[in-house]
Amino acid sequence: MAIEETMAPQLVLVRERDGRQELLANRDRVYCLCLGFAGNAADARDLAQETFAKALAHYEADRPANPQAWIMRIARNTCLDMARRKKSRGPLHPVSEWNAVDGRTPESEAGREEEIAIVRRAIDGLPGRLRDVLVMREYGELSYQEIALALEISSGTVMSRLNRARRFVLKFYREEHHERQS
Amino acid sequence: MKDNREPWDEIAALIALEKKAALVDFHRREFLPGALPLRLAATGSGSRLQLRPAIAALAASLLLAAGLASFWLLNGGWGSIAAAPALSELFADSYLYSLAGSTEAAASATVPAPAANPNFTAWAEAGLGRAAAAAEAVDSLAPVERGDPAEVRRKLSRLIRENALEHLLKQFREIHNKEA
Repeated sequence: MAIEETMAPQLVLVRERDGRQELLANRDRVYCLCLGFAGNAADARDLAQETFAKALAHYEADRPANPQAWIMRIARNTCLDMARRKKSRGPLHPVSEWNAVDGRTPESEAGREEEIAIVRRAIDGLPGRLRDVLVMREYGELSYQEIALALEISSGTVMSRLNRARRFVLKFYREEHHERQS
Repeated sequence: MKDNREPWDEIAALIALEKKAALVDFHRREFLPGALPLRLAATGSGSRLQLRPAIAALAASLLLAAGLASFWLLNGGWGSIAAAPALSELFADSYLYSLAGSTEAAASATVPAPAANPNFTAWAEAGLGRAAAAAEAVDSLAPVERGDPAEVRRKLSRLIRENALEHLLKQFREIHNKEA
């Protein structure tokens, strides 16, 4: 009994450290998910940081069975709160960020950046339920089951919404693309 | 679902490129997962600060509206608005108020009083006389000194029941009518 009592704080520390590491392993995915919701890198960074601050503060109390789905849900809620608090900062990544990818020049990437902006607008135009699923899948790279768990819906609903969201984005993209070419 | 797969690949590739570019920037700078972002913390507290006066103003407006509505419901109109209790009546029981009155009286004894409108003087005397009578009737000072709020409430309600305030208003109206 005495040994257990003396060991208890250490066990808690170990568990906290493990949980923290497990959460931090999802850092890039959380950031990408925030990018999907926020639409720009600066907001995504702030949102990812806020998400981790909340997650680390509540990890011990909540003890999630699936930490990844749990933190993704926190990230999604944080993003939605942020969207309510203020409008997005607008422009996507500044050109300097694009230069960093595989040494591409701004000129060669200008067209691609425009295409990404079209996709971004299409995603922004999605109804909330469809956008949640699409962003979690494409930006957060969650499986159907993980999305279902995070949003508390069935996997079938996830697939159905994802299908509709993709169709909407594709249609929007094609129409915009066609307009630009003609 | 499968119909969308191939055309979707093009979109997925664009999204992947967007993520890749953003991640390069993300990894370039330090990330502190345990701390709230300064910018968000600042905007959060700022918005709260900005919100506080607005909430206070709204609450005050609601209280005022509720007060006016309840007054209107109780009195059936605005005609009796002048029947609002005079301060001297309301605080007649208060020990501190009577102390303040005595110090004011002492001060006024040394300073010459300015010339007053005779109508106002008559009205004020009538009001003070009425307040003194009410204070005598309820014998209020002792319980207040002992700090018995229930007793004060009882006495205030008795004052209201006895229409002491209405009498004061009537006198005021008579004076006003005479003047008119």
